[in-house]
Amino acid sequence: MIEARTNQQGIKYKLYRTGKYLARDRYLLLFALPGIVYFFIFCYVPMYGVTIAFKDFNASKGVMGSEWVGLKWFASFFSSVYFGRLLRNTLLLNIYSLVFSFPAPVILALVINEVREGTFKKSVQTISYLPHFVSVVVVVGIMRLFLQSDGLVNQALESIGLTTVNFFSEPGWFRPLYVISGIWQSCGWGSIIYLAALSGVNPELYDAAYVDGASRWQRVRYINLPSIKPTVVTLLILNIGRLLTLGHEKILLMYSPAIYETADVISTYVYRRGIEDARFSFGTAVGLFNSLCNVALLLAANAISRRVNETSLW
Amino acid sequence: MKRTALVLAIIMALSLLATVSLAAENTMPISTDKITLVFAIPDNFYAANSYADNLPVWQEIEKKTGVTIEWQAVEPSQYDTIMNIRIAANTDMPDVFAVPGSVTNEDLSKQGIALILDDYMEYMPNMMKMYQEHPILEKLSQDSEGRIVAAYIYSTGQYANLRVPIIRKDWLDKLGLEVPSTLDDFYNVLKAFVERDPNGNGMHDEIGMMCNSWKDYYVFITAFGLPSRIGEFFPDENGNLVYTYTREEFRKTVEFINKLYTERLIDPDFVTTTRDIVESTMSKNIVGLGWQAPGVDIRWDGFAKSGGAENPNHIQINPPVDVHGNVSFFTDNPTRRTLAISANTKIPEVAARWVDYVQFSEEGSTMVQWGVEGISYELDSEGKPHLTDWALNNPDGLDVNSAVRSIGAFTPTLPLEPLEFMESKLSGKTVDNLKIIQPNAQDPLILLPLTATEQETVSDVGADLRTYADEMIQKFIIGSEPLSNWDKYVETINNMRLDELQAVYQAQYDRTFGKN
Repeated sequence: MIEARTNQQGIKYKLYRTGKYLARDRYLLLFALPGIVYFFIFCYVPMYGVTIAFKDFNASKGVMGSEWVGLKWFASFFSSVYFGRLLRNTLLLNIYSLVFSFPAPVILALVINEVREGTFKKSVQTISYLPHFVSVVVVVGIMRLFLQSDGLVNQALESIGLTTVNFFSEPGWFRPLYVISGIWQSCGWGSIIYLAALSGVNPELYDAAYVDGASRWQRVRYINLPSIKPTVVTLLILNIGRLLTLGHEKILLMYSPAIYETADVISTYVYRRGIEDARFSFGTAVGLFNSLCNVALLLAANAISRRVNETSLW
Repeated sequence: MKRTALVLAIIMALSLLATVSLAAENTMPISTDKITLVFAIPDNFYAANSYADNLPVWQEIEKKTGVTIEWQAVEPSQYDTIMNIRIAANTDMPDVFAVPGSVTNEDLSKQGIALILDDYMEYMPNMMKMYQEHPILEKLSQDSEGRIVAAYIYSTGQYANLRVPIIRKDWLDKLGLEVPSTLDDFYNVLKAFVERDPNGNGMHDEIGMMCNSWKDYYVFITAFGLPSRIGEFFPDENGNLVYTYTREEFRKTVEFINKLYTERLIDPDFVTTTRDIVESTMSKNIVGLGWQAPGVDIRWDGFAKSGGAENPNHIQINPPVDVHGNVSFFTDNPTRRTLAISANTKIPEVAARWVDYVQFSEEGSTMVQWGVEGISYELDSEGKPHLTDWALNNPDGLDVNSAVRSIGAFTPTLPLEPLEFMESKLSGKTVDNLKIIQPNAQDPLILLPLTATEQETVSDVGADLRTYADEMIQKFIIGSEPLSNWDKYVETINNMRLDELQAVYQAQYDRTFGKN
């Protein structure tokens, strides 16, 4: 009897308490309101458009009027001869990026952090950020210039006496080129967030370590690394949550049928299939598949991270 | 107030009837009353002057027709998207509009979007005349029940926009070579270009042949009896469609291109080359043979000159002849769907007459294609239009197309320039060379569009098939796949549901030529 009453009381009390919090924080809520409204209108409401993944979308009939076809597009995609290859290429490209270009900004940040404040440090930082602003089209253009059959790299190879390499027509070169140019472009910009985390380290810790006779490497290992661990883990989880998404612009610029076997990914395949006749439904279905896989991976990564460290996204 | 309005309305209606009943020959003006027609098309490709600015050409047209235009011109790249949405709603539609590509004739009639033009053909005598000259246009304009729902236009410019090999004549002269005719000639010429240093700089930096896109090299198929630009499927003598890329003729073509590639006679980076790269390489004065349309030869002369050539002379030549000495190639598709009239328009006769005048009549279409008489074109003694100096050597430095567009002509709804326009644009040597290659040009196969189910099969089966075909062909050319595996490739293609694809295209072909 008593429990029942306190339970009821409990719910009423909880409501009362929530109302009180809302009232107390009303200005904060007002602050957040535009953002919430924005996300609601532009991200949540359009989600109903995802339904065209299950329909045969016809522009003149609109979303509601188009015919329902269920899982047809998914079946069509999974039964493609190339489905396995596309999945493999997408995953591999992302995993290589993760393994090689994820640590790069961390290392760069640790190294820059060790340099004394001054013009040298500032100019190194600024120069390292610059490639981030260069358009991907220009980056690929630069790569072309260096790597074409009569480009600098091949000329250098020839002068040493090695045979020239046709970098853009050999499947084996695609992944390294893609990852390396990605590192070059994103390394500097990515290091900013780690440098910010590092700048928050208490200088007393360094003094204490110095007094205890720690070498520079030991300082990095026992002070710097642990202090950026939460940032690193968070960003790692977020990146895993994008494992199946791969923007196709750079690949489109770099690939050709001769290297489809390593370069053809889900998004480029769908792009080719889409130009045939504006197959919005097909593209949406594949996009939905991508998103679902990404969410699954994200949840898994987050759960693992929570077990292993205390850090997790939620 | 109400009564005056009623009286005015009756008078207007009567006068409209009067002018309309005299329309047997679609004489201008369409109306002497103030009528406004809402017109929606993609906006001017020459972005600086929007059609909404009331450009000279359209002022003339308004004067001649007596109909005021209310423009709904949308930025070209967004036109289709925006128009699709408006069509889906089908309220408040413009009177006349350009039809987006994804909307089929079936949609236009079944969803009540477009006016059925059969009932208004008496107001469109010029269009009827063009349809009689080119019967395929009528078929293309019809829905599945044979009703005409949109206007299709035929452009004669196809015979000037011919894509053929373009060669450095000055290099041929320097090396004492004839213009190549047979496949062996082409091989020898390319070899000479690469080995004998025709640009005279002492270095073997010449690239024999360089094309904008890797499939352009398929031009050599003419040496084996098939016309260039033949497409994925073509009909044999019995009207059965055959897949091009497993044919023996094509295998020989790939073998030849592979030979050129291995001997470094063509661009070694051809898999990723684009038009910009070709043009910048042309500027180094090292390319001997390309493949493009007329007018480009002059452009390439300019590039070569900037690379140090003294008197570069690019000319268009015929592709290689086959064993019987014949050669042929297809032109671009000369037909294009242009405009439709809204089913809910309040002024159907006016709209029909207006479309007929603007797109199909001699006077109207000349203005829309050539511009304003006295400014961008003049009529010669035979009444034929020629571009003026203002258009060809525009004082503001605009190229011909932009100059003409800046006053409102050459709208995005026109496919190609008319033949005379193109010839007017081209300089002497190009026109002369055009005469040598024109006889070998053939009309392409113009087919009715695919139905929705057919379209699905094409994209379903086609995507994988084309991925495999493109990949294997490139590998054969590069040599990473030996040509001895050709039969395996053919077998794989046949097992990739090629028969389904062929059936779809066969149905389309039969439907066009009325064989069901």
